[in-house]
Amino acid sequence: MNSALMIFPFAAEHAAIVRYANLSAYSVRGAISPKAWGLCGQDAGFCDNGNITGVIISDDFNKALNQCDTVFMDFISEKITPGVYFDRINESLSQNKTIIITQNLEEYLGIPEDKYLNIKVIGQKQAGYSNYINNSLCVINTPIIFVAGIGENCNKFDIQLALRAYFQNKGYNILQFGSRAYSELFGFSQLPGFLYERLSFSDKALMFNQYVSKREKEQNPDLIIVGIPGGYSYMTKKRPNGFGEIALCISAALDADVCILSIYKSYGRQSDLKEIMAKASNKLNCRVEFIHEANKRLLYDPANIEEIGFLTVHTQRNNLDRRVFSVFDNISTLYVFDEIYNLLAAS
Amino acid sequence: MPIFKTFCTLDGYYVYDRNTNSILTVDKQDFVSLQKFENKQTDENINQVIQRFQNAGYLLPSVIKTIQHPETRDLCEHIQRKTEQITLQITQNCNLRCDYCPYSGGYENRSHSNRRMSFEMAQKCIDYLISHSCENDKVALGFYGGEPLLEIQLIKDCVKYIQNNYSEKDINLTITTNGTLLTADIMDFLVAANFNIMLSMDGNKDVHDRHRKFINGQGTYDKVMRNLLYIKNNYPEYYHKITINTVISQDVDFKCVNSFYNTDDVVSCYSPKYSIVNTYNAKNYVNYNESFVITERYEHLKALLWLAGKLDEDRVSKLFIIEKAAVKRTHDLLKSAGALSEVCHPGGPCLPGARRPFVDVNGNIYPCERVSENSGIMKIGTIEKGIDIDKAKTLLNVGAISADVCSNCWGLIHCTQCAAAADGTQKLSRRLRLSRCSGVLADILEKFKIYCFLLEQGYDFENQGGLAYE
Repeated sequence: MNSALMIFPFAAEHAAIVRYANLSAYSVRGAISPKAWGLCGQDAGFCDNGNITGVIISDDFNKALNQCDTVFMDFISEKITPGVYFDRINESLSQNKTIIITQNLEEYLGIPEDKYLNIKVIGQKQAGYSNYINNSLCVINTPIIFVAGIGENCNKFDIQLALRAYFQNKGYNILQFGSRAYSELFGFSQLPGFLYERLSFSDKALMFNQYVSKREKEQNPDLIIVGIPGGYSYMTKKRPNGFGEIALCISAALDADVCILSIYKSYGRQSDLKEIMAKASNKLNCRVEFIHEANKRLLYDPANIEEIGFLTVHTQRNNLDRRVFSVFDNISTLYVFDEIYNLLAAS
Repeated sequence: MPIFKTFCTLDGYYVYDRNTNSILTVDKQDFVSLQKFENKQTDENINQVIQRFQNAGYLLPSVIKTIQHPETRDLCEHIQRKTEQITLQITQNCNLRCDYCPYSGGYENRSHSNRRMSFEMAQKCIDYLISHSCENDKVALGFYGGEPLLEIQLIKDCVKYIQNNYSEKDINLTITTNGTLLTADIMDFLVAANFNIMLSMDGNKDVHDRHRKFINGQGTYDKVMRNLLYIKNNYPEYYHKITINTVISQDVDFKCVNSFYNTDDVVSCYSPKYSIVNTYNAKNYVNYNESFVITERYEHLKALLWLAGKLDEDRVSKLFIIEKAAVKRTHDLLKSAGALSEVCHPGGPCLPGARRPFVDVNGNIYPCERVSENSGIMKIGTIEKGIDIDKAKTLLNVGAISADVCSNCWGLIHCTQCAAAADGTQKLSRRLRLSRCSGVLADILEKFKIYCFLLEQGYDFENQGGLAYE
């Protein structure tokens, strides 16, 4: 039986945990958010304009605590003070709940060591890998799917989970590396921490290649799915996207057989799409054949052109283009995933 | 047919190409040909000149097929998720009777009354703001009137409600006041709650008291100045959060006002900005005399010379320092708007219902506090029922009523007319909208000339000030 999970504080990015809970060992019973975030009373699916999940967002922590076995806590904003987190942790511990926190939250809180016994920390720290054997790239024989994006906030994690669900249903043994700290809730690890460290590009690429190779030998998977965090390239002065460094490292380390690129919703022309695909293919060292249209639009302020905002919009797709899909639309998703499946099967 | 506008400065000839939203430097010969084309005069070189520009991607035929605001389809999401600010009319009462006030009878608008917002209604408004801004980290809540400080207890109750319920959100509190009621107690409260204050002050005693009077007719200058002095002396860390708004009415000497802000010991430390008397919904024609225009233009010129590095800042009127931000906006709009698409809309409208909705004492919602509360088309919803999206979309797409004209207008992207400028109370008025076009176009042309003048002087727009060669 699945463990009953509560998420605190629940923010829009956690909607994926609720929506894909069937892939995890948890069923989400509580999504607790401060009233000030304006989500209370809404279904968790409101956050991403996706389907209704049946989980209503609330600010009643204690009620949800009574109904759950596990409390998952994440760091979202300093507007929730460490004091509030510690109160919630102590309440949870007093009721013998299992507590899982992300590494980001651990850093924010600086949790005393005596508390670690009862708190599980998930995220990059567990996935560290500090050495590589030689200066050559290992050959990876397993087919690889990249899930890349044009920037943050474009549903990459939803796509990774949807792919996992699809290929698991096909009976695939999947080795997966996620772009989010809470990938572990779904049985796969986040990308290793060294990718974020101050190492040389070639060190990172070699380390990642050999890390994946090692995991491939251990697990003998049918498919490797890699979620690439952030954007694949520079966006604006205020959002340089790390100049796409991690994407470049990963694409240098691994040769993808399939690449899905998630782009922000726009009402642009088909020719723009072709241009984006060509540019991304070049940067990611693979052919970008499939485009995901995110439920986020980029908002530019004409009066302050470096300021970029996001707006969640609907992405129901009416035209059935086998290359373009929205993960919030089952029909277009299935079309594209079938295409990917056929492509991998043929090769 | 290509849509463009030629103009020149003392040092250069330019053409603004609407399709690409670009200003091009041209030589005098081309300029003359293009100007003749604009004026429908014949020129033997024109085809050749236009062809040359077209080969480079400019002066191509208009691409516009439909006038529709690009945010139309997502307006509902903007309203539901990204409402930026709400302004509350917490009272319709005021302790002043300023001649030019929109509520003093000179405008097609409501008049002063004793109606006030209940705390329950204010709570609903705050809840509405929170529930409609889940994708904004920061929002603003404005207190407006009448004179909002007449309802200081209601304001205190609202702040307490926010602190008790919504502490995990950045809520920027603002208040627009006439400054007569800023007692020590009230100031302590406003400072503690970190309010941004917009205070009205029109100039020296003679100028200020001419219009800004208590109900008994007595001028308010002495009272406001005492309060400003008190604030300056007692809240040295805070007074920079006070912006002084100066309304320049038709009958005052702008020179006096200008001199007041530059020399008066009390007000010179505050940040002033000026506006002219509102012309929207005015019952009588608002006209400024030549003296006003001359002073305004002179001070404006000094501000430009300061930006161009040819005049020290201390020689520039405090009322015109804001010009720095204005030129940056022109630069950003030229840079960001990019090329036109087939479906587009003139600049000007904000996002009605999402940008800065204004809620009256009864819970009716308007696009902002500047529109007439007597206008049927401007009432776009209620706090209980929310925004009527169709009405909001109509206001957003005000350009549709003049689509034929706008489609062929060179100023389309830089237009500043919103629906308030076409408020025919029962429907949007094409006549009203078009009647303002010549003024708007003249303003845009002025902005372009300033922009090019500053470029010629080496002004560094990217770094918001300073000169490129510095």
